[in-house]
This record gives sequence, structure tokens and C-alpha cells, in this order.
Amino acid sequence: MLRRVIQEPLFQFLFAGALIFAVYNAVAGDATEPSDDAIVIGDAEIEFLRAQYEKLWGRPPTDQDLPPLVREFVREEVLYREGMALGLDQDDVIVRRRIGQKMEFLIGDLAVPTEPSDEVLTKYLEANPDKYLEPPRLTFTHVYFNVDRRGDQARADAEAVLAALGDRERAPEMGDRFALSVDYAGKTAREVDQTFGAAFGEQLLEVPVGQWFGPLESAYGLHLVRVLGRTEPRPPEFDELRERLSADYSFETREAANAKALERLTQRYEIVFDGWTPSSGESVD
Amino acid sequence: MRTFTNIFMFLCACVGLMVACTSNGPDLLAAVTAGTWGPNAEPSNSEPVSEPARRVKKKKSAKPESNPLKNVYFGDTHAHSELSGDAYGFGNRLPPENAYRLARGEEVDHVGGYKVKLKAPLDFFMMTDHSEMIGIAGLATDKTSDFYKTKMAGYLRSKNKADKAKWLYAMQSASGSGVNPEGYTSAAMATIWKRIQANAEKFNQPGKFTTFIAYEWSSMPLGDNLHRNVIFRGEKVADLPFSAMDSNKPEHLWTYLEEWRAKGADNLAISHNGNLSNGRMFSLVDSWGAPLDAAYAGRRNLNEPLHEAMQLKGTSMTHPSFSPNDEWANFEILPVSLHTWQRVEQQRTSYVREAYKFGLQFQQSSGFNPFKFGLEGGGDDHGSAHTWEEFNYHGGHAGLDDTPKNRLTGTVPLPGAEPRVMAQLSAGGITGVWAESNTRDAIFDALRRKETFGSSGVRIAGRFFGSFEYPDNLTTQKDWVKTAYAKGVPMGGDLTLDPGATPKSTGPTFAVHALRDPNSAPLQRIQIIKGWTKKGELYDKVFDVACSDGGKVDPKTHRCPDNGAKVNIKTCEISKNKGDAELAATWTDPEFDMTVPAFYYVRVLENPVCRWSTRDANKLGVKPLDIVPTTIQERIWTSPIWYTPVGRKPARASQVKGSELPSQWVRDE
Repeated sequence: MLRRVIQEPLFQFLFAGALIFAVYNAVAGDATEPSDDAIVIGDAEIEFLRAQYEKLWGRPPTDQDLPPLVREFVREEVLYREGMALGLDQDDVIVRRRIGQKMEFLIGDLAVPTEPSDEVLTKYLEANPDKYLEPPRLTFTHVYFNVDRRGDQARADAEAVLAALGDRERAPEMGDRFALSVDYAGKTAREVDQTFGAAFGEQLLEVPVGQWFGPLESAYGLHLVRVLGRTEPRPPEFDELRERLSADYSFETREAANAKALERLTQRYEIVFDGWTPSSGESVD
Repeated sequence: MRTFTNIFMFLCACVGLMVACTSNGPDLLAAVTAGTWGPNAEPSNSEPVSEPARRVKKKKSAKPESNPLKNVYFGDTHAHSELSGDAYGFGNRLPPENAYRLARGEEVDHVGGYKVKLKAPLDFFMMTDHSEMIGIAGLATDKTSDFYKTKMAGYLRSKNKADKAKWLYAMQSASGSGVNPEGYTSAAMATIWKRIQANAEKFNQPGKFTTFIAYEWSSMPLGDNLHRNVIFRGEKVADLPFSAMDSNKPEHLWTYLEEWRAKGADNLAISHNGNLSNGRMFSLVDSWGAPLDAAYAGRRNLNEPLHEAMQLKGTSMTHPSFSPNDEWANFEILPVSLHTWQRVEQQRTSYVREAYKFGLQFQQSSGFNPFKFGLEGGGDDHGSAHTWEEFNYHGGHAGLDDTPKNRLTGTVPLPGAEPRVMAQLSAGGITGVWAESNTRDAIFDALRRKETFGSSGVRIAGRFFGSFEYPDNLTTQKDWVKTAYAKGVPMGGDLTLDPGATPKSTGPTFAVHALRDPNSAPLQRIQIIKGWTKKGELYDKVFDVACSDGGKVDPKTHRCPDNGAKVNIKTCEISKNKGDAELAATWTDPEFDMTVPAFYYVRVLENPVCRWSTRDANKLGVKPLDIVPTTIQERIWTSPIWYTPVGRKPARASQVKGSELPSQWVRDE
């Protein structure tokens, strides 16, 4: 059997090929030396160095200025090429992230959306009912107690005033002078938080309407509040929203297109778990 | 044996196919760009530039209420998007819309790949992209632009490294020569400028969120920073922005501003980063080396009523070496050159307080003051998403400082740049104005009359008034603000006396008031910083005028007692029950000399909080850096009130003493 195989021309061909391959490998050595040893200092390079210098110093470089610039350029180029030959760009987190970023920019923004029609936007609004609800709006007045001045007595003072307030509509004079306003109308909880700090607006969403309540704490001190009105969250008019819907819709479709493109790219790769698996059963691709 | 051969041929075919199929990268890109991926052929990194500015139908809303005693509004006057060449270079591909949406309170993208949101949105905002070749990178990918067809645009779109380098060469040649690259015509710039205007209009909501059309003039003669932001009052603006490629001299910028103002496009400019100007920002000579004169002073004060004294790249109020008696002078200092980012020796004429003093000297000797500008603060973020809140800071240079590690260890990629410079950057500041309503006209007018204050990033509402007629208990009176306006001047204003006609032995009386930022620390103290000149010498002094926690100012040292407020560096918790929510005082200058000019401005200090770098160090589980402080005292600085004696002959016009002129300044035209 063996003799028949050796006589087969195909086998002889393969054997010869293997021989040539082995000889070549032994003789050729490392295939990683740089293919081009020339560092060219041509017109383009000099122009670049000139422009860079001029930008820095406001005047073109003289003949004395150029040699050190060229030296630096050559040095940089040598380091760069040697670095690349040694594979220094591999396993470098910065390089990896930068290249990933550049790739992301390339595949990004492929969907340049045209202006979405009203029908599209209406459907979008219907699909996101909570996102565009008008938040509750608060109308309230308050009495302020300055804790820095009153110290530990402040809370007791506030409670005493609360008992005395009765049916009064507003009573700023029964507390301390407040630098901002004492009356607010139609503010969202977030706006009130921004003014008073310490989630004051959030607290007002829970307070009973139409009566004095407190003391509540803000970044400024203590307050007795009387919430006069609190609207329910309501869906706004489509006309009011059109611009915002258009912007959000465009933004989302663009994000979705980018995500889809990235997903298609990812599908070309097989993710192999070698010694670790995601514990919660979560997908990682 | 035939079967064997067939199998072998089949195997060869398979090998051949495999080789052809594993060249992924280049082929994939080709597919992407050839249009077999996604509905559109060309990758475009921003909205199509040629989209006409749509006439947005604004809902008829009620006219915003107007408060004659003025409300405080906070805004940022300095921000960049991908339209700025350097931001694009830092990896920013986010459009201006991203920044507007963040400023008004939405959650938006950050270049670092995560989402960010402000705790407290702003009341007003503007984008100030660099006018030099503005938007050029976006035009290179916009098929409808003239620039698209040029070789240079092809370089940017090309995938190969040599072409990308050619793009960079071309950009640098252009900015070095002052000549726009071929194909980047005025028409091209105009399309970007129209888009900038459309964005500002789109986001402007009178009464709720005010925007302005603005840009940055980025002059840097010999690498010294002379940048100004140009802000237009309303919809009517110049045809094109005036850029540093047109001229790098402020005097020429002023000509452009004056001409457009005369045509109905009202505007003003705000200079920034005196600290990076190598003494040039408040130079005692003009751009041609000639001494300043009254005409110069008039133009400068008219066209540039404000200086942005605090932003990401440091504070320009003063330097500790020039204010040795000010215990709080060493605040967010960045003493580098803007173009090499190396440490440089500091000049007096880089700093506001020195400039104010030189201004008094000009007033005394020559009868004019070229440095009567007010103060404000900005961000200068280059990532279309500036979060300046100290507890919420995510960097300001797009890809260079988007993670805690980058912020604590990174620097600018220039040879010899100051190491770890990102850690030395501040989280940035904002501007406070007192205006009747949150509308363009009201806020623009406030900027122009200097009823403004700069902030290191906190929303302290600071009031400052001065007069010779105030009672000494003004701030305890009911409706004191009404009286203050009626009987005196607010920050940015002027007090005058004719010492010959109305000799006064007591000084002006000032009313100060500050309300804390609810999201930052309570207030520690209010100070008034006075500067004056006498017999050709310049002086300044810091007076504490209001203390927290019941403290009283020592009449000899003019200092509040230390209130003992501390910060836990590991947790960033601050002392409870230290500091006040509100401080106020009425103060009369005990050292007043009516015969000499003086300025007074207010500084309000908070109790200390963790610096942003400490929070980042805690996130990384490392010790805080030793090259920056672990805590800072956030603060505001109001525009000054100037006192000028009138009716006296100015002293013999003598050479203004002060800084030596840097030796590289030569007549340059």
C-alpha cells in the first residue's frame, strides 16, 4: 500500500511542497522586520514643520530653526515605527479605546433622519405616555424660620406659630424675613427643589392641600407651608410638544440605527467563555 | 486515486475561500461607506448643514413677569461643541444641541460614552464655538457644501493615516497663515453660522431659558491668550463672525463690533483667561505698543464690559504672589502658557485685581480708566456637555479627561506640557446676573451695565450696593433692596464726589447680602476687597464684613473668627451646623480718602467642600493627589463699584508704574 502511495504524483507534489515550505521558513527567519527603512523628509514634511512652527511663534522658522525641528520629527518617526514593529499598539488600553472610538464614529450617524411627520410623532407620543406628562404644579405660600439665628429653638418656634396660624391665607410676618419669594405659583417639584434644595419640592407633593403644615426643612432652614393648589399630571397638547417630540424621535432613531449597526458587526464574532461565565445569565453581546 | 485528487481540489478551494473571507476590516468599512449598511451612503457626523433654518412657530405665551427689583439668573457664557476645531480634535462629535439640552436640565450624552445631567439647570446659556474655520470638519462630510469636493475635505474623510496627517497639516497651515483653506469660503462659514443661529433660536424660551447667538474670537499672538467671546443681543446678528484669522488685535475686533452695532446688531464681547495671557490681557500699552489713551479706554469699556474671571482653565482674579495679604488668593490657579501648557512666570497685567489697580492709576494720572470691566464666570467645556457642579464634574476636554483616571493623571498631548495638568483644571464657573426677567433684553442689559458676578460654579445669590446716603442698618430694614436701588448704585456702578464742593469725612456705605446655593455648602463669610492708589502707589486690602455662626468681625484685623468648618476627605461630608444660609451686612469704609479713586468688590466664601479631584480619587480608591488642594471654598466675586473723585485736576500725567513690558513685545505691523 505504501509503495502505491509514494508513486502517486499527488503525494510527490505534496511532499515537495512541504519540503520547500520547511526550507523557506528556516532560511527566511523572522518576518517582522519593517518593510520600509526610509524616513522621507520631503516637501510635505517640511511644510508641516513650517506651519506648526509658525502657528506657535507667529513667524516662519529661519534656516537655523529647522534642523532641530527635523531632528525631533525623525526621532518621533523612529520611535513610532519601532513601537509599531514591536506591537506596542497591542494591549494598550488607550490605543484600544481610541480605535474603538474612531470606529464608533465611522459607523455612527448613518441614519440622517428626515423631518418626521405628524403621524409618526403622534404614534411616538402614544408609545411613550409617561415621558411627556406635564408634571404636577404647585402653588404655595410659606413662613420661614432662620435656623442660624434661632438655633435649637427654631423648631419649637415654628410649631408654636403653626398652632397660631389658624385660617390665615398667608402670614410671612409671623416668621423671619425670607430673601427669596414667599409666594410661588405653578412650579414643578423639580423647580421648587432647585430653589429650596433638600428635596423641598418632593416634600410638597405629599403635603395636604389647603391647610398649614410643617415645619419642613429646606437648605435655608425651616418652613411652615400652605399648599394652595396642586395640579394632577396631565398629557400636554400635541402642538406644544411637536418640537420636543421631533428632536427626541430623531435622536432615538439615530441611536437605534447606530446600535443596530454595531449589533450586526458583533454578530460576526463568536464570544468564547474560557473559564468564566456571566453569573446572572445575562447576555454579554 | 481520483477521489483523493477531488478531495484535495475541494480542500484547496475551501482554503482559498477562507482566505478571501477573513479580510474583515477593510472590506467591512468599504461596505459601510459604499452604502450597503444603513439607509444613507455617507457617514455624516452631524445634522445636514444645508437644512434650512425652519421658522419655528412659537406658541403665544404670556409675557414673562418683570421684577423691577431684579431677580438673580445663572448662566454659562462659554461652551464648545464639535463645531470647534480643537473640540473635534479632542474627539468631540456631539453637536451644540447636546449642550443646550444639558444646560436646560435634560439628561444627555457625554463624549466618554455615558449620560450626564445637571442637578440644577441654568437659566441662560450660549454656545461659543471658535470662529476660526468653524465647523470645517462637519463640512468635510456634508455633500452639499462646496468644501466637500476639495482635496482637503477628502483627506479628512479618507481612511488612511497619511491623508489624515495631510488634513492636520492643512489646518495648521491655514491657521498659521491666516488664510482660509480652499473651498472653505465665506459661503461655507455662513452655512455654519446660520446653523448656530438656528440652534439658539430653537432653544430660546423667554421667561424660562434664554439663549444667545455667540461665538469665540480666538486670538493668540505669540501664544499669549487674548480670547474674547462675542455675544449678540438678539436675532439680528453680523453676517459672519470676525475671527482671529481676520485679525488678532482686539482693536480690530472692536471695529467689527462697533460697525455691526451701528447696523442694529447689538453686541458685546467678554474677554477671558487673563491668567493665560502672559501679561497681555491687561497690558498698559495697546496692540502696537503705544501707551493707552482716553480713546482706547472708551472703546474698551464700551465693547468689552466684562471679563470672565473664572473658568476651567483657572482663575484670573489674582495670584498669591501679587496678593500676599489675601489668605484666600491661592484659588484654582493655572500658571501655564496656553500654547505650550508649560509653567511660565506670572505677570501682574494678567490678573483682574492688578488691572483694576492700574486702572485707578490711569484715572488719577490721566483722567480715564481703561479697566472698568465687570466680572462673570464661565465653563469653556469642549465636550458639548459641561457639568461644572463640583460633585458632578466629568471633565471639560472631551476624550482627554472623560474618566476619573484621565482626569487625575492626564495632560495635554504636547511635548513638555505640565504633567497632570488635567487634575489642576477647575470644574469651571458660571455667571450670575440681576435682571428684571429671564429674557434676552433683560439679561443682555444686565451684562452690559455689569450688574453681574462671577461664580466658581455655585449659585450663591449675592447682592452689592453702595452709596453715600445709606443708613448704617440698611440691610435690616424692610424692603431694603428698594431703598438700595433708589438711594445708591448696584454692583458695576459708580460713585462720585467733588471733594472741593462736598467734603466728606466718612466713606461710602455698602450693603451686601448673600443667599447660599442650596446644593452646595452654607456660607462662611462676606468680604469687601478694596483697591486704591495714593501718591503713585497701588494698594489693596481684604475686609471681612459679615461672619457666620454668630461671629463678629475683629475691628483691628478685619477678620471673622474661623468657624471651624471641616470636610471629611474620605466621605466628603461637611460639618453640620456650621455656616449660615444667609448673610448680610451694611459696612462703611473706615479708611476712606475722598481725594483718591478706589474700587470695591464683594467676595462671598462658602464653607469648604471636597474638590472634584478628591471625589475622583475616592472613586478610584486612591489617595488624593498632592499637587492640588483636597478641598476648596467655592465663591462668587461681584462686579466692582468704583469711587472717582471729580472736579480735581488730574495729577501730572506720569508713566504708569507697574509691570515691566515683556521683552518679546515689539511693534508688530
